[in-house]
Amino acid sequence: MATSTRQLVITLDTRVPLEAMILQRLYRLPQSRQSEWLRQLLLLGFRSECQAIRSEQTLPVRAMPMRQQSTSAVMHAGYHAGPIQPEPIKPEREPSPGSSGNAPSGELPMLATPSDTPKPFTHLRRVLGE
Amino acid sequence: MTELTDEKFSDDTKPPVANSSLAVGQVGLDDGYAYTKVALPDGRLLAVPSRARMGSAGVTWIRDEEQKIFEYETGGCVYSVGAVDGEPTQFDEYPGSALNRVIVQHALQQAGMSGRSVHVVTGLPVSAFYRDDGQQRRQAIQAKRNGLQVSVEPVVPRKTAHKATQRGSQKVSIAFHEVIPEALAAWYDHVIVMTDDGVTLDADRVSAPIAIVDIGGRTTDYVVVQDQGVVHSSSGSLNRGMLNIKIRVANRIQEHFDISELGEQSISRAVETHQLRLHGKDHDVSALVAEAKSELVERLYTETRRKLGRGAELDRVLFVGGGSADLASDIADWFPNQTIADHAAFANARGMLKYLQFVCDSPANEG
Repeated sequence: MATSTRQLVITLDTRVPLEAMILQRLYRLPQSRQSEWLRQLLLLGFRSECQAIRSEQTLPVRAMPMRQQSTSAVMHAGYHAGPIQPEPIKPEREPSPGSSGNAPSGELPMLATPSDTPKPFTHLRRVLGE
Repeated sequence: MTELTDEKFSDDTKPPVANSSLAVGQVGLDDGYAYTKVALPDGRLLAVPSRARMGSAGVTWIRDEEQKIFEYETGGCVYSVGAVDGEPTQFDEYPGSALNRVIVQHALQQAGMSGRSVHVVTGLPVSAFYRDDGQQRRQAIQAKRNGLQVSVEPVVPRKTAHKATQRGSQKVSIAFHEVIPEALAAWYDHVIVMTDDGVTLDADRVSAPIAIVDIGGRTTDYVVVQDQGVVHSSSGSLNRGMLNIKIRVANRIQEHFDISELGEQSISRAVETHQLRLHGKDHDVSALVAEAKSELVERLYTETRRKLGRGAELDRVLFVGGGSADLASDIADWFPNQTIADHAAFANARGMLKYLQFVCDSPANEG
């Protein structure tokens, strides 16, 4: 029977720190929200992949070191640079009580960004429009 | 009333950071018409009245710590900032003006950034940022950027110059400046959430249609965000804000007490305390303040309904800006799905800081 949704099965390896973190984060969520969280994670990753590819096509060469790398570039670098050590992005200090409103209701995990990597939510710039 | 108070607000009791580092600072800077609000990465929030006038203060301070008026020079003119009867800020060119520049410099000095180089994100009212068709007003945005690039020097008497350097009265330089719409800054504050582990993007908040109502000093801004885009037909600015209460009360005081002139600081005090001191006697002006407030609330209600209808298709209506806190009881039942942001006066400044730290295309993060 034809259907508009497709189910994917993926295997994550807990020996890989990044993949272990994803699983750990996933299991902290209520079961009812787990698959939606994974779907959002996949979409976010793909969006970032698209942005990276687009920036590779449009940025001048001198800007390249600052750009967000596409997944394929990260994977390629991984062969030489060893495993990625994920850490959450740390603010300088926990902000004041009024700084973030209520507790988040649907968080997406963010991975480590060394100081010379792009900012994590650059895709939100498009909300401003042209 | 938060928006009109003279008190400097800080969310903790820590003194400003001393000029101990040459690292570039990051600042969310909501340079409003009534108050200039500052958000810093260490969580401190600070507001100074947007109050300055051209010319020297003409006051010699016997004790440095008692100093309430500060002088700054820009474009060959000296301005006094602080406890002065300020010039009106309610004019369209204010965001790019020298008046704005010296007030911003003063706010950065008060935030302990003396002698440092900083990256800032500031804002413009929605209607000053976008044209009616939703396109950005690039000229106005650039004018705002250029405005803060002009140098502003703290004026220090020669005999105390050495002491002043030690206690921190050196120029703050703005090395990077980005401008975003004011109410939209509060959306960034809403969706980017700081946690114990770091920072996350709240996916539910990002995907939900929301209206932000930002009741400020000169303007009230409306922004509707849906599917990560601004809905321009429901967004814009109304040229009414908390300063209208002050103007209205000033007029009524002149009429009622038959006086021709009253200082701006006296009017602010009267609005805040509901008492006016004339010829050594206190007069109750609470009726005048209540009347002015009710007039403003009525106008805001009409415009809010015009922009947002009953808000049935919105997940949430989020009120921000100093006016939202001051008028909390008056706006309490406008929408069933409404919320007033925590420390509402600082929602834009916090969002500007988060935009700088996690979104915008600025040089790499630094202290």
